[in-house]
Amino acid sequence: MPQADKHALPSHKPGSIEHTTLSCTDAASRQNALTTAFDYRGDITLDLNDGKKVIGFVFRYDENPGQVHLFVVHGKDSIPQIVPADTITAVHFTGEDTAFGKSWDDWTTKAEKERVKEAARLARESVARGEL
Amino acid sequence: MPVPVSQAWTVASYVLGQKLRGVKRYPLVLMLEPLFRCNLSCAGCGKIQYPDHILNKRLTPQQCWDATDECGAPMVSIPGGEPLIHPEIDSIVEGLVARKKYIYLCTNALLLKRKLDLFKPTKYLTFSIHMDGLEPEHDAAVCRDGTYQVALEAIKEAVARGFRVTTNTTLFEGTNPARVREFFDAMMKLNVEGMMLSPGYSYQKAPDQEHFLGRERTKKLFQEILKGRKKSWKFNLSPNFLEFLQGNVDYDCTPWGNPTYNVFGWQKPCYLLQDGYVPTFKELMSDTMWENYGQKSGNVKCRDCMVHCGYEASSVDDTFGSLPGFARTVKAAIAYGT
Repeated sequence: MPQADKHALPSHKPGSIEHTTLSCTDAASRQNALTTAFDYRGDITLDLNDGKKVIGFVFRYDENPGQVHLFVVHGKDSIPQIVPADTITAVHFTGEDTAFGKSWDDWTTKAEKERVKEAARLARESVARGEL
Repeated sequence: MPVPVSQAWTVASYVLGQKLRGVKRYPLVLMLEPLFRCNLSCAGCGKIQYPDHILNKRLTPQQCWDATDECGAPMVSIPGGEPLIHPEIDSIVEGLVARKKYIYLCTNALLLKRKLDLFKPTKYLTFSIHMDGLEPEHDAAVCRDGTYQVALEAIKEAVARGFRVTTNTTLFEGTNPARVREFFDAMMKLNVEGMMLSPGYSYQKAPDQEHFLGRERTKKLFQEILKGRKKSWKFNLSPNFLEFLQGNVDYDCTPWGNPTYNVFGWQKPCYLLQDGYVPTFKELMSDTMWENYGQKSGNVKCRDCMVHCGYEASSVDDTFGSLPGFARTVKAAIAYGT
C-alpha cells in the first residue's frame, strides 16, 4: 500500500496508522492488510477466524504460501511464530508506531529547548539500560 | 597502503577463486547485526525503530559464528544498533578472529574507551568509528552534543593501543564539501588507517525520506570533496568505488555482495532493503529475485542508491573481472594512494 494511502487512514496520530484497523474480507484486502503490517514499525494484533488473537511484530510475510512470521510478545520477551494468512480476519495496529515523528525534519523543526530535552531524556534512558 | 597486505591478499585470492570456479554471485562482506539497540537515536535512522522486545534481542555468539561459516565471506562488518552494547561482543569478535575473518566493528565509540580492554589488537580487527563530520556537523547528525569529543578520545586511545582504526562517514543532503575536506585533515591527524565514505540511503521504512542524496547530486558532491585531493588522505575503500561516487565509472549494484544477517534471519535482498527474511544463506542466494534489484532493474527503491554496501563489491568484482578493470583499479589506486 503506498505510504500516502496508509496515511489517509483515520488515526489518533495524523500521519500514522497507529490504532487503526484493516479488515481482511477477501484476498485483496488481506494482501493489503498484511503488506501494511509487514511495513509497520510497531506491534500489531491479528484477529484469527477461530476467535483467537495474536500480538506481535511482523518481520516476514510470504505471499506464497500465505504465511505471516511474527515475534509474538511473551512477557518482556518475544518468540517466533508463523500464522497462516488465510486464518487472519483483521489486523489492528495496536503497538506504538516507533518510526513516527522521528524524521530529520521532525527533529530540526523542534525548538532548540525541546531538542536538548529530548536528547537528554534519550541519554538518560541509555544510561539506565547500562548502555552509556 | 591503508589495508594490510595480508587482507588485500586474502580478499584478492578469495575473489579470484570465485571467478575461477565460475561463481557468478558470491558474498564479499557479511553484514552481521547482532542487535538493533543503539545508545544514540539519530533522526532519520532506519535501523533502530522497533518495539522494545525486538530491540532487546541479541544474536548469540554461536549464531554469529554459524552465520559467518554459512556465508563464507572473508570480511565481516558488525554494525547494528551499537555492537558494543552487546554483552558478548568480545566473544563474538574472538570467534571471528579465530576464523581469520577481517572484522570491521562499526561503532559510535561512546563505549569504546571503556570496553577496549575486552579486545586484543590484531590485524583481523578494525574499529570503524562513525564520524559524520567535524564536531558541529557530527553532533548535529547524531542528535546529541558531546558525541564527537567522546569519539575523538576513543580513537586516540585505540590508535595508541595499537588497534586498527578507520572512520566511517555518511554524507547527506546539505553537506558542505569544504567542511568535509577539513574533516579529512582532522581524521588523518589522528593517525587512523583510512576513511570510509558513503552517501546516505533513504531506508524504505525509515522515518526520513527527504534528506538523502539523489544520484547526480551525489556525484557532484563527491567530485567537489575529492577535487585536488591531498596525498595525506587515505581511504579504506576500493579506488574504483571512489571513482564510481564521482561518476567516473558506472556500475550496477551487487546486492548479494554484502549479505545481512540479524535477529530476523537473512535479510532480502540487501543491507538497506527489507523485502523479507529467510532462515538460511543458501535460501537467500537461491530464492531472491536478484534481477529485481539494482539501479538498472528500474526498481525505484534502488534508483538513487550509491551506497558502499551495494557498490563496493561491484568495484572489487570489476577489478578481478577483466584486464581493463584491473588496469582501472591500478590507475585509481595510484591516484588515491590506496
